[in-house]
Amino acid sequence: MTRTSIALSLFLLASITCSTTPNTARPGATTADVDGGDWRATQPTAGPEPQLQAPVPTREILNNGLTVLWVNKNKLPLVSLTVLIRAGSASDPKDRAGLASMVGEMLRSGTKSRTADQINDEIETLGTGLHVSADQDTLELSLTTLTGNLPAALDVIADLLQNPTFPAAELERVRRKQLATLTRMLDDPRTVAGNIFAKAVFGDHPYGHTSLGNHAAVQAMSRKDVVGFYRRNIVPGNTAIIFVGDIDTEAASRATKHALGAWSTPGAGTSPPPSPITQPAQVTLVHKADAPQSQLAVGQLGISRAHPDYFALLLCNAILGGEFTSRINMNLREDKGYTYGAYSSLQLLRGAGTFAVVTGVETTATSAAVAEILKEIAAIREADVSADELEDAKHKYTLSLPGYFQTVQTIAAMVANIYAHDLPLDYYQQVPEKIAAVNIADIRRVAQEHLQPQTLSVVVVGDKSKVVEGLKNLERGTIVELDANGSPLDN
Amino acid sequence: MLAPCICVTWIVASAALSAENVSLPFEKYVLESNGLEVILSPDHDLPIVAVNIWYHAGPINEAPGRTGFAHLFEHLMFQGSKHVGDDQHVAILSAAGASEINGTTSNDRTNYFATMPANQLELTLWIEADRMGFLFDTLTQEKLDNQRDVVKNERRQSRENRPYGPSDEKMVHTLYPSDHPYYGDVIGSMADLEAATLHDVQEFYLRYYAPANATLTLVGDFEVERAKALIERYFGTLPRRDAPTKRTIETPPIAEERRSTVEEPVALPRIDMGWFSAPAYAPGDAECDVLAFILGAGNSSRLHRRLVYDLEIAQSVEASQNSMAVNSEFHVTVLGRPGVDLGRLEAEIQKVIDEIRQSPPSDKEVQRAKNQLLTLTISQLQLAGGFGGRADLLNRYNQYTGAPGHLAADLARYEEVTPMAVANLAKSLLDNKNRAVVVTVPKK
Repeated sequence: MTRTSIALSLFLLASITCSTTPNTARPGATTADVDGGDWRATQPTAGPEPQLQAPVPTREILNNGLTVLWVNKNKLPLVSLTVLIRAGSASDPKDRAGLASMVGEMLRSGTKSRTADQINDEIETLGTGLHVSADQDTLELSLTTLTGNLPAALDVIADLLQNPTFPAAELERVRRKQLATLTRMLDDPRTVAGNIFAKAVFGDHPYGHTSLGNHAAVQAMSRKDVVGFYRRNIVPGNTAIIFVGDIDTEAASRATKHALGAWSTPGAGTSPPPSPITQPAQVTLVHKADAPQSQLAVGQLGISRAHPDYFALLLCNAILGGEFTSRINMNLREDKGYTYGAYSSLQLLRGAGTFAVVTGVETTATSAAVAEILKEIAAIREADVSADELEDAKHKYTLSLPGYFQTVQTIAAMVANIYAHDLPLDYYQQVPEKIAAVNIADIRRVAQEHLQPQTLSVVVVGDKSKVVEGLKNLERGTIVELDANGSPLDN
Repeated sequence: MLAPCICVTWIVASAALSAENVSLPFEKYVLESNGLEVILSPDHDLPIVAVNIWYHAGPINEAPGRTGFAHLFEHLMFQGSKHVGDDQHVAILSAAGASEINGTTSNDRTNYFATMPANQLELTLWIEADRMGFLFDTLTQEKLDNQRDVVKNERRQSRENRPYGPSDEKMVHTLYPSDHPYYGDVIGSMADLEAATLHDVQEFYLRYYAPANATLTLVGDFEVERAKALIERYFGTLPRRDAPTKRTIETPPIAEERRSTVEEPVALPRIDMGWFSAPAYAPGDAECDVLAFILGAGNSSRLHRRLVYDLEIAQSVEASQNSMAVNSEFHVTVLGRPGVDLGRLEAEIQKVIDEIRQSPPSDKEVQRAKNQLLTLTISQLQLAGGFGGRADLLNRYNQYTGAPGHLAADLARYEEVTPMAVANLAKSLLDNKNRAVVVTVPKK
C-alpha cells in the first residue's frame, strides 16, 4: 500500500488507519423485492465512522528564516511544490494597485542566467506548468511534477526567487498584457459584480481593489516599484516553500537548503492591513444592456480568519447558503427556479473578511431574488436553526474531510492556509472537535452579531431598464449607478 | 545542456510508471438478472468510496427538435425517487459526509457520482439504485417546470451571459447540421427546452435509463465480496428492461470552409477554428492531443510564443482535441488584444498552422508534449471519484474501448507518437477547406 522506505511516523498520512467494518444487516434479495417492496423505503444505516487523522505538515525554519513545510504522500510519483509569500495586493502601495500581480509575472520573466523564454521552456519540458497568482494576502508560485523532475523544477524556482533581473522590455510586455486583462475583465458580469462588491464593503481599504489593479496604476508602474516590492516582501523571512507528495523528510530539507539556503535578503515582509471601516449600506447598479440575467452580490464586512467566531459562523453560513442544500439555494433554485445556483460564502483574510451571497438570476426575477436573500438572512437571525440543520451542517464538514486528502494539490492548499494564517500545524486535526463544540445558541448569536441587515450592500449587474423599478421598491435607499470599472456615471 | 537532463528525468519518470504503483486494477462483471455492468476497483489508501454510474445515453440519443433533453433529464434525477423522497437525494448524501456529489451530461453519456466516507457505501448504493429503478412514479409536471427554469438559467449563465458563450454555440451550429445530435451543444435551445413534456421525460427514462444501458463503478475502500452482495441486493433486484439499440450517426464532412461572425458585448475579439478529427481512442486521436499541446499548451507552445509573446497581438491561445464517439473536434482558439486587426491576427495564426504542416516538430517539442500529457494523466489518477477521477476513467475506458483496463495502452499510445506522425496528421487534418471559422467581433 505504501512504500516502507518513506513510512516515517512523522507523517500521519503514511500511517492512516482505515477501519471500516460496517456491521449492517444485509438480508439477501428475494423475488418479492423485484417490485420494489417496502424494504427499500428503509434508509440503510451506516457502520462505524472511519477513523482518520488529518495530515500534519512537518516544519523546518532554515537559518535564513525561510519556512519549509512538507507532507509525505507517496501513492503516486507526484509532488506539488508551492512557494507562498505573505504579501499580496493589500501590500500594493497607494496609487500602485496591481503591483503584486505584476511582480508575480515579472518573477518568471528573467533571471541572471535565464531569459523568460528559457524559464518557460525548461519548466514545461519537465512536463509541468508554473502557476503564478496574487490574492489580497499572498503571492503564490506553484507547480505539480513527477517525482523524478522535482530537482530540476526546484532549481528553476530557486533561481526565480533569488536572481530575478526584472528586464525593462519584459516589464512593458507584462504591463501591456495586464492592461488587456483589465479591459477583458469588464466583459464578465461575475467578475464585475465581485470587484464592485469589494469596493462597496471595503471602500479605500487595501482589500478594496482587485489584485489586477486599475488602468491608471498599471500604466504608472515603474521598474523601481517592482524592485521595491520584491525587496520589501519577497524575502526568506516572509516565505514558505511547501512540498506535498512523493518526497521524504531528508530530501525536502536537503533539497531546499541546497537550492535556497544561501538566499539572504533581510526582512520580514509587511503586516496585515488595519481593520476596515464599515461602509454605508447601499444598492449599486451596473448597467449591462440586454443582459439575460442579473448578477447579484449581497453582503457585508465579515470576520478575519483569526476571529474566535470562525467555526460558528462557518456552520451558520453552511445552513444559510454555503451548500447546495442550504436555505438560499433551496429557495432560489429548487423552489423558485430563479437561478442555476445561489451560494453564500465567507472570505477570510488576514486582516478582515466578507460575507457575500452571489448568484446569477433571470432578469425578471432580480428584485424578487434580492428580497428572498434578505428574507433568508433575516430569518437566521430571528429564529434558532433546527437541531437537524446544525447536525447535518457539522457532518458535511467533518465526515467529508478525508475526501480532501486525495490529491497533493488539495493538501498543499491546506498547508498554505496554515502558513498564510499562522494556524497550528495540527489545525486540520482540531477541526472536528471545534465544529462539534458549536451549539444552536452559538449560531443565533453569530448570525445576530455578524449578519447585519442594515449594513448589507447589494450589487446588481444587469439591464437597468428592466430591473431598476423593482430595486427601488425594495426601499433600501438611493440606487448608486456605476460603470463596470466602478466609476460614478455622470448623468 | 537541457536535452540530456530531460532524457534522464524522463527515464526516471518512466521507470516509476512501469512500477505497480500506477496500475489501475479492477474486476468487471454483468448482473445476470438485468444486464447492469459493474466495475470494482478496491483501494484502501483512504477511508472513502467513490460510486460512479455512466448511463450510455446523452445528447447522442436525442431526436431532432429535442435538444437539451438528456441534460434536462439529468437534473430530474436529483429530484427524488420513490423510496428516497422529494429533494432528499443531495440532502441525505451531504449529511452522510459526501465530499463530492454531481451529475454531468456530455454528448455521448450522462454520469452521476458521489465520493463518500467508506462506511456509507450501502446508503449510496441504495440511493442510486432507487433512482435507476423507481423514478418513473415520482416524475411530475411541477418538478419538470421547476428544473426547466433552472436549466434555462444554466443556459443563460453558461452561454448567453458569459463572454464568448454565444460564439461557442455558433461554432457548434456551424460545424453540424441541425439534425445532428451534437448540434444542441448539450444544453439545447430555449425553444426545445420549452417544448419538453412530461410524457417525453417518462419515455426517455424508460428507454435509456435501463440497468442494461448503464455501468456502475466503485473505487475505493470496500470489501469486494460485501460490495457484490450489496449490489446484488439493491441493483440485482431491479427489473430488466431492454437496452436501446445503437443508432448509427454520420457527420457530413466539411468540403468548403464555413465562416460565421458573431457580435458580442466584449472588448477583445476572438478567432475560433474547428476541424473534425479522429474519434476518441481511434488511431490519430493521440497524435491530435500531442499536436494540440505543441500548438497551444503553456507559454512555450508555438501559438503562445509567436502571438502572445513575440507579436503581442493575442491575449491567450488554446489548441484542443475534444475527443468524442462519432467524431472529435480539433480547435485552435485565439483571443486577440483589444483593437487588433482581425485580418492580421488570422494571417499570423495561419502562418503557425502552415509551418507545422510543412515541417515536422522537433523531437524536443514532441517530448515536451508527451511529458505534459503524462503528468496530467498521473495527476488525474489521484482522485477516486469526482470529475475525471479513477472511477470516471474506468467508465470512460469501458464505454469508448470496451476495456476498463485500458490505462497501460492509453499511456503507451502517446509514447509511440513520433514527430513525423504529428507532421502527417497536421498536414491531413489542418486543411483550410475542411474547417469552420467563427470570428467574434466586439459590439460597440
